Amino acid sequence: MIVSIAAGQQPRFTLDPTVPIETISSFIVQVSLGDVPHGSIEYQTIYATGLCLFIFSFLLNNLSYFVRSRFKLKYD
Amino acid sequence: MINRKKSHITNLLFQYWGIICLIFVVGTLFVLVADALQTGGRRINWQFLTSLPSRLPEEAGIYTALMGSFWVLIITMLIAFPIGIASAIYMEEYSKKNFINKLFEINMANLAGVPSIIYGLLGLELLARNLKLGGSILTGSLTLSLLLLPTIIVTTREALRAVPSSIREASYALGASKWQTIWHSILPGSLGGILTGIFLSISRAMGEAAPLIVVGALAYVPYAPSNPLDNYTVLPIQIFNWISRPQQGFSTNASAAIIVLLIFTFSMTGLGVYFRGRWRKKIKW
Repeated sequence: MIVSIAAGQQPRFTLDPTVPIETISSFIVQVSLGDVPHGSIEYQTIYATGLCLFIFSFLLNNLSYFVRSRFKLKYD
Repeated sequence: MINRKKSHITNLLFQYWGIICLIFVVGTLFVLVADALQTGGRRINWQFLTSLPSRLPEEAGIYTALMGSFWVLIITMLIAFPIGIASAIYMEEYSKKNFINKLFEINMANLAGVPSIIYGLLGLELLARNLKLGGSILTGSLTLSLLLLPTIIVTTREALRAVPSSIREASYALGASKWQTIWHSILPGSLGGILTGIFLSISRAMGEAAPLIVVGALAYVPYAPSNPLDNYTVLPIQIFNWISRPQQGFSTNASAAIIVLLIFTFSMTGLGVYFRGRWRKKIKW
């Protein structure tokens, strides 16, 4: 949410860290601020982008769980 | 000898580097507060707190946002805390170490790390559309409850785990049942930790805007909500809305609203820290 204000809400494909960009969550917020009819392309798009975000965080979370359980075995 | 001197210097260098990093972290908060106070400090008065939103920045106030925040927080607490604490007690005291409970555990770690916007999408489809609750306070509260549950469960479990096993064994040795042990020994002993978790999660819920925007909290609500099925707005959304507007007056308003929000979150965090310290002093194992 903070990121959606600070990063400027401008979708663009770049690796330059000094230009405004848009994150997945700020895209979802931006679309939801308008009226999104149920079942429209926009509605399906925010779910598709949300799914991508979820898959990334799911992988990272499981990685952290795995690392944590490995370290526990070492010290116990 | 040289080696020893070298490691001494490295130690000193790291110590100073650590201090610089710490100052940077604390300084950020200080600059944020100072900036908000300077821009919006003079805007805070009774009229600002009790006025409805307006298209004129001088007449606009945060009354509806404040009321919305209170409604959402109170209903969220009523839903999330009983469920979260009961789940934590089950996982810590009753569950056996088998495959299904391990699955629960991995699941919980996952849920705690899911971005809040995903909970918003879940709330939008499940609560707002399928259960036909629309953009009501109830939808927002249920969504926030889902968001807070993993945090509450994790902090409550840590608090329960901090109770030494000697207390448990002593209680069993006196012939107490499992429930009596939990109710009379473990819960009072861990209450400080549980309360700390509760206050920290309240202050987190207060600052969430993204999931509430997705489930349909409105940026402009011309009246204060009077029941859980009304439309609503909350403080962070009001701030977000004011910041996105071009007029100077609205960004002053946003700073003032940020100060109000900060006062609430700081006092919640402060209460959490206070309870933790108090319980630690009161209980001596």
